[in-house]
Amino acid sequence: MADSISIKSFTFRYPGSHRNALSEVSLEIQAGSCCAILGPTGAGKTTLLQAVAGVLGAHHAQAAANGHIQIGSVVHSPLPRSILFPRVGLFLQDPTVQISGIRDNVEDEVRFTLDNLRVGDEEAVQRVRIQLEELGLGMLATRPLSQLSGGELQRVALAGMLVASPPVLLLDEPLNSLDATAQARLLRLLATFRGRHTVVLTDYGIDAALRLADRVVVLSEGRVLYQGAPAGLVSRSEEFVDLLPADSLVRLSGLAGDERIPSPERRFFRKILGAL
Amino acid sequence: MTIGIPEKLALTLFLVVAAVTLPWNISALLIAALLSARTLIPALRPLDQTARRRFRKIFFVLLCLVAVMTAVNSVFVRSGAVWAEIAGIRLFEGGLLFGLTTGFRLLLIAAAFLVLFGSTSIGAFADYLNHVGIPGPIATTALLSLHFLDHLPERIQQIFIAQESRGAPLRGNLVARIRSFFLLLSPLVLSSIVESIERGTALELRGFHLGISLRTASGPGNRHWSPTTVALLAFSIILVVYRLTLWLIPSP
Amino acid sequence: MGTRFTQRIADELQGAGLPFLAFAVVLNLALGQITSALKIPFYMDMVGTVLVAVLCGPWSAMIAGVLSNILAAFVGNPTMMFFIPVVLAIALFTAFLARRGWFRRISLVVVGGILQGVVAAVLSAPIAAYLFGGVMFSGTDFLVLYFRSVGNSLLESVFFQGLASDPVDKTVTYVIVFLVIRSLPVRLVSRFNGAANVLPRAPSGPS
Repeated sequence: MADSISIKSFTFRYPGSHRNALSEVSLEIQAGSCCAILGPTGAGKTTLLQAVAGVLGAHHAQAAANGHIQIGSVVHSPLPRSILFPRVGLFLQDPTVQISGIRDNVEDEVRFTLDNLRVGDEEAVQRVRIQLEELGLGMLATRPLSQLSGGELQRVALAGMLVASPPVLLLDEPLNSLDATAQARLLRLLATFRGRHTVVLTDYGIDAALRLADRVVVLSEGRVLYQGAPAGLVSRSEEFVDLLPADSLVRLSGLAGDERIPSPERRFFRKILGAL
Repeated sequence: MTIGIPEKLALTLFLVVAAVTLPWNISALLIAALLSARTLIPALRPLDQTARRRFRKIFFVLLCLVAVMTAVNSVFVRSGAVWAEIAGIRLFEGGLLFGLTTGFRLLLIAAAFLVLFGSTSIGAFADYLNHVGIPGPIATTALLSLHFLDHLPERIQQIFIAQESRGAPLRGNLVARIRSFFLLLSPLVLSSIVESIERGTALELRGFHLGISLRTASGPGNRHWSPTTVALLAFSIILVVYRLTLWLIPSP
Repeated sequence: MGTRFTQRIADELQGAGLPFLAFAVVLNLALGQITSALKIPFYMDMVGTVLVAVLCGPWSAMIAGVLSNILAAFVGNPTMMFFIPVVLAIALFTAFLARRGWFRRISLVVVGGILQGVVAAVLSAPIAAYLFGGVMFSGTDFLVLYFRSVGNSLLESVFFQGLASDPVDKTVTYVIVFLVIRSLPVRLVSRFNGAANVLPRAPSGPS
């Protein structure tokens, strides 16, 4: 059963920092929906996900924070003080660090999560089998982890989280290390989660948002600049010229049927943003 | 006769005690016996080609070092009669005996551990530690360490190449090499600290907390010792008592 | 007792986790190999243990040290196992100094390193002398031989060799750990249980 997420006026500053990592962030994400959080590096996307997952509260007890975060019916003020797994699953940017390092093959690696949750043997075996099939890893069940490709490792890491069936799924730039085929596969999979899980994913570009998201949030320097339907972002693409990568802008302007930007200027934008 | 981890640990303990308590010629015989057993007994054979190569390389290097140290000791430790004189350099019996004793002691201890670790997978070892009550964090840390150890040479190589391409003097005099050591140290340590913390977070995000014991594929362990284990432990105790007795009771 | 011990480790590793401990073990093993490859006359086999002692606490530092010495046998140096008592003492002593703020100032770090080196020399001399006859298959063996050749007993020779090398080695180790911690972002250091040992006072809240 998916959970809703409600964030109200959330502000967070890391210890030793002189500026807020997140400032007065307010978001509403409906249960079972998909929300894409966009923004450049340093915008606060990862910080926001880690705040919701409980990582910030667990590991930065001395940090200054205001506001509150509500997941389902549970209100955390200002933020969760312990990691909320298995209610909230967080998939990190680097999939390789999510491989435990203490299991040898794919099946055992995915089972590691259920062992931590003290799930019984029979149930664990079944859940692992189902999860591996869902992610196309059934044939690799007994394969040693050292023999997997980067994309396969990412799927194993994802399976290791999904096997716990968290109602809320947070994915930090999940498409980054994948080729186009693997990206398409992952997006198709995430589309099947609608209704079953609440999905929040961050991305540098617009693709996932346009293909998947019910709601898009644009973050910059810890503040929310836009939140709403993806269509709204399309009509306001010029406002985010400095924040989104060139290919995203080109797609947005194409979607808007916007021929006002002539080719030489489009090339100029690409050059400037490429240099950045 | 089954040789499992308890038996191998008992054998290693016995060989270490023997190395410390018995004369060098017995140590030499035990080394020969161990090398034969390593070939003949399946449970003592190296798990894979890597273990086999590692054993050969380390054992050969140690053997050469023993020869060198024995020779050097027989020159510098001037006790006992002169055993030989080569090109004007006198070799003393006392130094020779000292060199042989310490050399074969180290060689036997090294061989015992190399056989133990070469023939036992770390996963099985960590599971065994868990079964006998060693706290989970220790066994898990050991497993994680070996996981990192596998990837570390690659990372060190990458840092070497990166620093060299920036003009760091990785060869040269001692001062230059010390400087390049610190150039290597900083990125290695900092990146490893960051990565290890991320891994710790990732484990927590999968519900892992200290104190959870590792699941074992083989099921609950058998805590009863086999006759082989008991015999080896008994021999070890006898040797220790024998040696202590010799030390405490002065010879007439 | 297992539960209490595990809880103590859990408290010390709060915010860092077991992989940090494992990394410290590997650092101990790896730095020794790097110094050997670069032919630098230091051991550097305690950097990880000292790092854990300062940032986490004594119990986890002892685990890091003990595991390093045991795993050293796995990579071909089994004599290290016999120096576990020395490692335990180093872990405890370093954590003691860190709790008293000795890792906030470089001058105290240097003094602490020298003291640590003397402690290490005193504790390791009997082990090296009586178990291994002073022969450790390293460059310092020749120093032991020299001291013996001028008339010192085996124990004295090993002790003098230790006094000649351990204070320098441990001081360099302490300075390295001090510099490493100083170069870490405050955000990262603040996660550790021993952050108060090395950090200045926290800044004011968000505006």
